[in-house]
Amino acid sequence: MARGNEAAISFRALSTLTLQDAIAQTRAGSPAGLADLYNRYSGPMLALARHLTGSVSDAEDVVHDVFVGLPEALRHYDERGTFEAWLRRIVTNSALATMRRSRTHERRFAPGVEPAHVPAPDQLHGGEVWRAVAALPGSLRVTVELRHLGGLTHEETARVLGITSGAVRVRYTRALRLLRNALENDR
Amino acid sequence: MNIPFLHPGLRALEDFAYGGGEETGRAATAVHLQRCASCRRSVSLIRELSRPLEADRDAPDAALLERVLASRKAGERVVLPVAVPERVRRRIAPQVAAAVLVAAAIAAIALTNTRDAAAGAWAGVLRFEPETPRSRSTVDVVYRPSEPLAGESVLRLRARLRKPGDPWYGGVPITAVAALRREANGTYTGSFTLPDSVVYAAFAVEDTVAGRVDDNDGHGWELLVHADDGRPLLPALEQRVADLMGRSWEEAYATVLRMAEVYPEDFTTWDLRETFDRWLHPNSADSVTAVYRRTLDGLTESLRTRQDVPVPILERLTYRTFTGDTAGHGYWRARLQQADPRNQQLQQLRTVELSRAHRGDPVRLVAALDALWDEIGPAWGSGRLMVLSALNAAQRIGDPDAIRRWAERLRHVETEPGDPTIRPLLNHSSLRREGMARLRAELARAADAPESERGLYETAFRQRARVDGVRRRLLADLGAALLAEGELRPGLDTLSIAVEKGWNRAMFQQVGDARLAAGDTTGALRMYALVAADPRTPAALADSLAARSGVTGQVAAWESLVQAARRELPVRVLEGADPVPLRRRARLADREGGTHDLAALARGSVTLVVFWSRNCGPAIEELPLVNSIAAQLARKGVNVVSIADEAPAEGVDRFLREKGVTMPVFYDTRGEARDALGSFGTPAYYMLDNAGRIRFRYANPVDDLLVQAEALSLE
Repeated sequence: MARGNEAAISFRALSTLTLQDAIAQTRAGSPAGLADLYNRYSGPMLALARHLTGSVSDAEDVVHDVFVGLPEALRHYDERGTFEAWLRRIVTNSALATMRRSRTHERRFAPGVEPAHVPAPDQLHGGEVWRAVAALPGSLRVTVELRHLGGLTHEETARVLGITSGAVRVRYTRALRLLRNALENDR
Repeated sequence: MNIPFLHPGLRALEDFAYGGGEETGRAATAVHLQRCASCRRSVSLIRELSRPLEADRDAPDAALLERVLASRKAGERVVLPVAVPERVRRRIAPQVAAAVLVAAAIAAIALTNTRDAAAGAWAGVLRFEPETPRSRSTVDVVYRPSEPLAGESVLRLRARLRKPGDPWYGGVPITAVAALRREANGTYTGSFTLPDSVVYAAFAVEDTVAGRVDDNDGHGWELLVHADDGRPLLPALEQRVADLMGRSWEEAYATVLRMAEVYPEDFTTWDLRETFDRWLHPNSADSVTAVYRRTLDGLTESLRTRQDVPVPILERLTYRTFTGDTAGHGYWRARLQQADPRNQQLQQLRTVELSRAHRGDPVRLVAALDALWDEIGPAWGSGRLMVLSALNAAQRIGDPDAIRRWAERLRHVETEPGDPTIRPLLNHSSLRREGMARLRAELARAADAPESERGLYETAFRQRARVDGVRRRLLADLGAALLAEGELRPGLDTLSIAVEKGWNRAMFQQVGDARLAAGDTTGALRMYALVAADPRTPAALADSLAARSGVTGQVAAWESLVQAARRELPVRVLEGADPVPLRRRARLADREGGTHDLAALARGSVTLVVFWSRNCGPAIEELPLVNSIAAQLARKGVNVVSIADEAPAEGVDRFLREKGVTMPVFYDTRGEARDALGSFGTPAYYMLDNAGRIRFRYANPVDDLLVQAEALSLE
């Protein structure tokens, strides 16, 4: 039987697992548990990684690495807050680490720098608001993305970008103003 | 229509949007929102942005899952960043016991990314505690090596310790600061205390015989001393810049940006930033220049009102105003004069003025500079100009006392090890004997290869190889001096030793000429044959060398000498060029978005890898020369892989067209090539052999690349 079907069959067979069981099994090293978590969350995590890295293949690499490392990383999951939020932060951190290594980070996140390749809106998911976000200047766009896609607080965003949290709030406020204007003009 | 009352701040809007914060606060915001459409819009935007995204409901990608499961099955493991990756150093709460933090560091290190080690990456993991030490702190060290150092019972931590005002580039001694002892769990621990006034330190780990050195993939490790408010000290950042000069322009520039961020009111940071920007980004927009102008002018104005401007800033202001702002220059120079009359900047400026005043009259110039030395010497730092100008003038006059006097004064301004007086003395006939005596002393000293002069990332073996090269150059000077003194036999013998090993075209020619003059035609021919075998030597020069030694009629004899020289070339050039495999797999992108593996690109032939950047002044400058060398190499069957440090873009295409770059260009979008080769800045040149292993890591001068490639092709 073709390998691809195996995964699909696994998904169907395991969709009766509760989230808690899936986490426990994954932590114990079970491939079936891991596949279950993958099937639940890979969609949103891929979308998040795509937003941050701006590249479909980079996003796949990030998600691949996150799920490969998940069984061991679950030792650090203390069940506080939702699992999805915890996973989002890991994906965000991994994407940032990848980008930092490739220095995409400097260009995408540098103040006042326009991104060389803004992902085309149809590469991202739909939604008028997020299309407007994609059109923001780099430093403002990343502030919004880290907050709403990465689930980081303003303080955490400040640490990531190496600026003060006051500066993050200023950028976020400016981003809101630009978004308001952009969306009003479209009306 | 703008309603002129205060809008709620971001926190209040977010509290309202998420239902957080105080009830009374939300109520007040609600009242405002009734009247203010733009704040209503902001709240609804915040809520909209917080909603889960639609396409997140796509069906899971089965192929990717298959890859994940296959990787797990193959034993691949990834350590995930469970904490937020930080750029700013965290201030460590004083009440947390150091031991706990060290234990945490050990635990963190024990989860070293095993995948990297398997891929061939070398660097171990090193943690300092505290990571942001204060002055004179005691620092604990935990280190986990990867394979090459893992078997040792003791390792050594070496450091380049910098104090404020230490020179850029080099001249800072390196010391062993701690012994690291092996613990039961395979990590190594030790501790050291930062000496007084040290503000920055760069580190490497090695075994006790300096046979293997872990340089953290070329980056080293570092510590910056911090103030109590958690900021790195400004001199610490400055010394980081000084340490990075010549290693990575981008990192140095990033540090300068950080300085301006952390100390935005400081004149030095803006001055440095403007200088770097101008130098690294020669095509900066006028608007950028205008911003710097305004900022610097503003800072300058506010400094005028201060009584206590530090001397280094007065120096910068004096220097900066020297061209173009006469009134400002007069003002700042007077203040500098009063604060520090022997200042290096004043030494330099007065030298410039005296040189102009006495142009064409070296006798007067020497006298004037002697008087200047008596007044505000000894020279140091940028006052170096005083000594160089005087020495130059003394040599033009040919005054041995003045030459000796100013050569001695060179010792004050030279920061590199070695005796700087030798060359000036050797170049004057009545001082030559004295120069030779000093040269012999220097030869003996260099032979010892002192520990403090071994580079931070240099193994003992490489130091000896480097010192060997230095000694041979000294021997060549000594041999030439002996010949000039009429001591034929000793001179020729010394020159023979000098050219026994290594490859230095100029030295071969020099020795060939000396042998020819001494009547040793056979010996001269052997040297000229080596010159002719050098791929850079044009045919015309080779022919004239052959003619000079009277061998024009004996073509076969000359040809066989040149063939013999060609066989010698790889032996001489490749000595010490030990093969080092690529540290890891490296995937490069091409313009069309395709992916290439560096090892595959380098397979089957000698390969030149060039890292360049269109945002780096030094890289831009060397690009035309490198491009032409690459074209020559390509014609000889050498692979050329040039790597840009950014993603493909229209701007890059334009740049390549404008510069006439014909090298194949790849894009290191994942940063893997940089890691694989340990490249830390641009421009950088690597020569790989037929088996794809790194043999040479730099070329200076750049056309040495031709010799390296030739040697590898003949290996």
